[in-house]
Amino acid sequence: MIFERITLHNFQRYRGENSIEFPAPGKASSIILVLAPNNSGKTTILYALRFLFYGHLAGYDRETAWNLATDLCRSTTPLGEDIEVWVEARVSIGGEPPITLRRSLQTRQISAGRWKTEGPFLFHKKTDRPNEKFQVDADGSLQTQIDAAVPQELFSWFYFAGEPAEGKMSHGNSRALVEPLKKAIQLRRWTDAIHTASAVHTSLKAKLQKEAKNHGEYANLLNKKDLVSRSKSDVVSGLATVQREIQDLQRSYSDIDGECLRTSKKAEESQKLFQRLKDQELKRDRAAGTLDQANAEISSLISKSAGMPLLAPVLPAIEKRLEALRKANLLPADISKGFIERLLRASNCVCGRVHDHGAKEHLEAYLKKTLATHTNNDLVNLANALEGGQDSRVISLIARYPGDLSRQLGKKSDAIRALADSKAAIEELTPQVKASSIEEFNKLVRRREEISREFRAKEKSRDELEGRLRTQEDSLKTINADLAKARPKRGAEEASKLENAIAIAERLVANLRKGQQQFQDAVYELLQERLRQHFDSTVTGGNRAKLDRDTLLPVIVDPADNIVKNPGGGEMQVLSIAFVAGLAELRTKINADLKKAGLAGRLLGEQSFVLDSPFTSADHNYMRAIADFLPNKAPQLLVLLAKQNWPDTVREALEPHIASAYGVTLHTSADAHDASSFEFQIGKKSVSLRKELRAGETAYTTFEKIF
Amino acid sequence: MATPLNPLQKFFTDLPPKDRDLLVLCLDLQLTMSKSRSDEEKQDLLEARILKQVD
Repeated sequence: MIFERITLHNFQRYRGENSIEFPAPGKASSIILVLAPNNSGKTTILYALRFLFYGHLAGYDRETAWNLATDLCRSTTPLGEDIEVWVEARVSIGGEPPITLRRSLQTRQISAGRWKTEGPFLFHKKTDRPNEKFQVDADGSLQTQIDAAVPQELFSWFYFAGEPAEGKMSHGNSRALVEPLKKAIQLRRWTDAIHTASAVHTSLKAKLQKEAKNHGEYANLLNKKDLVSRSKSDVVSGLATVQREIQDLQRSYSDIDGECLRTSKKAEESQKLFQRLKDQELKRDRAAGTLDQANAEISSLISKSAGMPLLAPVLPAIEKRLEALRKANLLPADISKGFIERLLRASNCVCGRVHDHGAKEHLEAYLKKTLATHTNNDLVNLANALEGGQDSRVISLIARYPGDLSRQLGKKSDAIRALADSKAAIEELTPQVKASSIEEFNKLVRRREEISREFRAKEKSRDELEGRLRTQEDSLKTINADLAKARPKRGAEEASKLENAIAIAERLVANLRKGQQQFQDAVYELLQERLRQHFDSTVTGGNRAKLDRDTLLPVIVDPADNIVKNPGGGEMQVLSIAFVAGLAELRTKINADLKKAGLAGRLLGEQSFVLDSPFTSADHNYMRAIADFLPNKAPQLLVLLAKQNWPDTVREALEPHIASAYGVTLHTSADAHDASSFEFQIGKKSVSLRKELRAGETAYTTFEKIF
Repeated sequence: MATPLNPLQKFFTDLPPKDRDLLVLCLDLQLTMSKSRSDEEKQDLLEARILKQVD
C-alpha cells in the first residue's frame, strides 16, 4: 500500500483537517519524518491508520466511539449538532491506480453526557476532485481489498510502535502470524489448489472403479496401482523433505564453519593469552612453594639455634670486653662468679694471704663490673668457649647462622616479590582469557560435529528413500503392463481414457506439491538472503537472523546457532525492518517469476512503512545503526520520533534522506510544560512545536510542515 | 550473459505445456476473484479440463 496523503479530521487529539503528504515512491529521498513532543499524539497516526483500514480500534465500541472526536470539538459543538470524524488516505493498493479512502463517523450530543454515533463507514472515490462524491463500500469489496493488502494480523509489522510485531516475534508466540503471512504471500493458494486437484483425482478414480467393478482382475490391479502410487507419493514427499533438510544442514555447517574460522583466528590469540596465564600461575605456585620453604628454613634455624643467634649481634662487644679484661690482666678464662664469691667469703686468699679491705674492694668491683653488671655466667662460658674453642657446635652455629638466615630471608623476599608479580599478572590476564574465544570456539566445533553427524544420517535416509522410489517405479511399470492386458474389451476406451485422466490428475497433484515447495523455497531463500544482507551486516556481536523454513518467520540466533530469546539494544527493530523490507522486495521478485509463468494474482502489494519510535530500547550504537539502515529499505518510510529519539547521531544519519518533515504541534498553555522539550533542531533551524492556547480552549494537536 | 533461471522459474519452464496449463488453471481457480465459486464448481471445471486433454 503506497500513500499519497493521509488526513486526520477531528480524530482524537487532532483538531480540524491535518494532512501529511508523501513523495512519490522511487524518489531519492524516501523518508517522511514526523517530530513530536512527548504525549502530543504521535502514535495517534498509527491508530488513525488502523481505524481507516479496519474501522475499529481497541477500547472503542459503538457506545464509546464518540470519544474519537477531539475534546475541543466535543466541548465547543452545540448540542444536537454533528461532529464529523474521519481519516482519509489517497492510496494505491496493490499497484492499482490511486483512490481516496475515507473512514468516517458522525457523532452528536443528544443530551448532557449522551451521544449518538453513526458509522464508521468506509467510502471511496477515484479522484481528488471536490465535485466527485464519495461512494460507500456497500458490498465490502474495498474492505476485502484492504484486508488482502494489509492483513490485520500483520498490521503491526508494517506500522509498528516501539516493539515490532507487538513483541510476538521475539517471544516464541509468533505462530499466530504464520497463517496470515502465508495467506498474504499466497502460499495458501497452492495448498487450496492441491486440495482441488486431489479431489478431482479421487473423483476420477471412483469413476474408473465403477467401470471396473465387474472385472475382478482389472479392479484388483487398479487398487494395487493406487496403493503403490500413494506410497510413491509419500516417498517423493519424504525425499523432498530430506533433501531440504540436507540443504539446511549444509547451510548451517557452512555458517558455523565460517564462524569457526573467524573464531579460530581469535582463538589463536586467546591461546597465547591462555598460555601466558598458565605460565603466571606456574610462577605463582613456584613462588608460593619457595616462600613456604624459606619460612620453614627460617623457623628451623631459629628453633635449632636455641636462642644463640640472638647473641650474635653482641659478639663484637664481648670480644671488646675480653680484650679490655686481657689488657687489665683480668682474663676470665679461669674465673667465674662463684670463684670470686668464694674468694670473698673466705677470710684468706687462696694464696694464703689475708684478704684486706682493698683486695675485697677490688674483687667486688671485678664481680660487679666484669661479671655481674656486664656479663653473666653464660656469657663467661661463651667467652671461654670463644677464647678456647671449647664448644665448637655453638661456635659453628653462631658463625653459620647470619649467613643462613640472610640467605633464607633473601629467598623469602624474592619469593614474596615473585608472588606479588605473578598475582598481579594473573589478575590482569584472567578477565582477558574469560572474555576470549576459546570457549566459544570449542562450542562451535562441538556444534559443527553434531551437524556433521546429522548430515550423514540424512544422507543415509535419502539413499534409502531413493532405493524405495526406484522399486516403486519398477512396480508401477509392471502394473501398467498388466493393466493394459487386463483391461476389459467392453468399455476399454472409456477405461483407458479415465486411466490417462487419473495419471494427469496425479501428475498435477505432484506438480502442485513440487511447485508449492519451490515457491516456498524461493520465498525462503530470498527472505533469508535479505535478512543476511540487512540484519547480519547491521548488528554487532555475531548474532544472525535466521528464517524458519516452515513458518517463514525470523528468529535471532547467536554464533553457535542458539535462539536468542530476548535480544537487546534494538536488534528486534532491525530484525523487523529487515524482514518487512525483505517481504517488500520479495513481492517484486516473486511477482515477476509468477508473471513469466503466466500466473495471475499478486502477493503483498508495494508497501509503505510507519515506524513509531524505532529507536526505543536501542542503545546509542544501535540508534545510529538503525538510522543508517533505514534509508531506501522501503518505497516510503514514515518515521515518528520524540525528542529523545532525535539525538545528533540520528539526525546526521537521517537528514540527508528526508523528503519532508512534519512537526506535531501541541497547542497548550504556556506554563504547562518546560519550553525546551518542544524545541527541535532540523537542518540548520530550530523549531518550536508548541503554540499558545486561546482563552477557553483545551489542548489539541495539529501538523505543521517543518522541512 | 543470460541470468540463470532460479529454481521456481526453472520449475515452470521445465513443465510440459499441457501440465503447466493445468497447474496455472488450478492455481487461478484459487484467486480471490474465484472465491465465489464453490469447491464443487472448481473441481468440475478442473475435471472437465483434464478429460478434455485426454480426448
